[in-house]
Amino acid sequence: MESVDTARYNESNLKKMLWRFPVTKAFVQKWNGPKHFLKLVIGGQIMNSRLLKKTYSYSLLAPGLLIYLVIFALPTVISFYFAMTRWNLTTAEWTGFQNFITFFSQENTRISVGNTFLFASVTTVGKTVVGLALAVAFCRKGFRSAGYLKGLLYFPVMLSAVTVGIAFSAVLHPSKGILNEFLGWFGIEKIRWLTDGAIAIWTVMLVDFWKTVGINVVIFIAGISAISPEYYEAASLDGASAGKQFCHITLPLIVPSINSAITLSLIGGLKNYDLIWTMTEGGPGYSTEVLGTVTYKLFARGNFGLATAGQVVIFVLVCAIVFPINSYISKKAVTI
Amino acid sequence: MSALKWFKKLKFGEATAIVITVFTHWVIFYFILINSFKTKAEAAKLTLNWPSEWSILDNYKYVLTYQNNIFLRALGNSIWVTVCTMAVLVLVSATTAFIVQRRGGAITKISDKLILAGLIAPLAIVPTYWVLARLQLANTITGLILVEIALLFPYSTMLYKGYIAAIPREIDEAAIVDGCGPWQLFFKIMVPLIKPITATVIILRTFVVYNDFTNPLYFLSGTKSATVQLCIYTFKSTYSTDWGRMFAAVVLVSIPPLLVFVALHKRIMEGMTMGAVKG
Repeated sequence: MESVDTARYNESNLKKMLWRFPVTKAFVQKWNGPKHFLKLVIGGQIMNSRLLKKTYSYSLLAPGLLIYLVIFALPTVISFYFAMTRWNLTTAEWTGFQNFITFFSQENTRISVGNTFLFASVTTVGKTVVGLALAVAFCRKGFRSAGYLKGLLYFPVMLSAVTVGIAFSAVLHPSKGILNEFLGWFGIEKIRWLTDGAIAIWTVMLVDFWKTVGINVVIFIAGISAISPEYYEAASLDGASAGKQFCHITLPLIVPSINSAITLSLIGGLKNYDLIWTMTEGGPGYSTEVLGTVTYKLFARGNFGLATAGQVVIFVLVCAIVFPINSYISKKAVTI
Repeated sequence: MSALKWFKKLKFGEATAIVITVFTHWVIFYFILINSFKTKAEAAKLTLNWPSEWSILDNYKYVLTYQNNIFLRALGNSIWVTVCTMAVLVLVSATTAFIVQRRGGAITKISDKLILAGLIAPLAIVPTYWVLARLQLANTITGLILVEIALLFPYSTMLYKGYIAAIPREIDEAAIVDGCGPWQLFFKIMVPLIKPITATVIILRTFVVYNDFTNPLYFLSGTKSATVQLCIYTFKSTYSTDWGRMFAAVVLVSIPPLLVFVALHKRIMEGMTMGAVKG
């Protein structure tokens, strides 16, 4: 996609840049055909690869890469070792796969794996389908409030999970929350949104949807509005219905947008922690425990080996789910 | 009046959508705001009613000054973490992206692949905590800043890489002919050219850092209220029945993102799609 920012970079900028250096100016002005150019090459004024390497020096690459490797990549690698130990941060005692066996046999951690799957898949499907439907509606001709709706749906993305969590704990309060009050007008009995183990996780998913669906809407709108209107005009001339136009024009052309929407939602869903933690802390019982919450509890209790095993599980899940889906969808992309 | 006319002209479906947003969004915003103005007893009822007794000054002053200004100190910490993270992040991811994009060879290719993997892979928190402890940085603000940089690094490097790819190499070459060294080339030639994408990175990522709860919770686990997000979380667990003051804290924490969103919403949503569409 051509971004607006790239468009801002224009030729006049380039010229200004070039002209700032007197030798360049002379070089460009003295351009006298290829023979003259060859002379300059022999004269050593045109770049050789050694000079290029000296200029694109690793010293520029190093600072960022160093931080990334030490703080991100190295811990990822060593987590596979520490996941197999009983560990108190100073001494690590090798226990093989014991942590993983414990992790999958303990009730709370086992439930958390299932919940993480449920949370990630439901929120991803929900946000992608609804996000796409909203984006298609907003992009229709004559839809005048698209800017307002898009902005309003996106705004909660800017808020922190903790503030959203606190706000919804109040809104969804079982005895006096305004949602139950509102439903009461229609004769619906009070629902214990966050304290009933059977529905608490669905409530949290709904709040997550409220908070982050805007991301997908914005991504899809960008994808759809990048499609040339000529395709639709041609299709309408041929008598294609709106549904057919959607399936055969819109959908294939926004595959990259679908891909990033799904990828982002999946990663967010699998790693989700802060919203759930603020709203339920994993309860009631273990009904809203996800990998993020059990891992934090294990960490806070000083059970570092088992906590690391939990993180390895998250890591493996994210990689095993997101990478294949990502590459599967991107293969479906159509290039024109 | 003109707003009403505008609304009347809308089609039925669109008008319905706008009415629905009143219930799904505005009622909630109003609920938080109006209850942050109420006294403890009245706020505890959690209604949408107009306050019978105003407690604005009391609630907000309390949040700002309780426990020896802990909220203000947390806000200061949050801003400090955010500013430092963004400053270093922009610098190191731009330089890294510049070399990765411009220079060939095995090392840069491997670095590139490693960085891309970080877009998807989650952070291994406990071993990271251990590494930071080894560096004497566990439970320090500096440690947290480093973690935030490392987490945001892949995404912003990717954005920079895409942007730098569109800048012709001839510019570099001209500058090199003129005797520019690596740092001079980057700071004098590249930095002015990559200003727009730098703005995008800053606009997009600032509130990711400011809103972060998980990483401060782990990497500042010695202190309970070091950043604003930790602070309101602690506030929630300590004063769980004092809804008026809690909502005042929620409003105060949400003011910076609100202001930035109102001022820059177009840029924010544009930037969001830039990184996303490239995947």
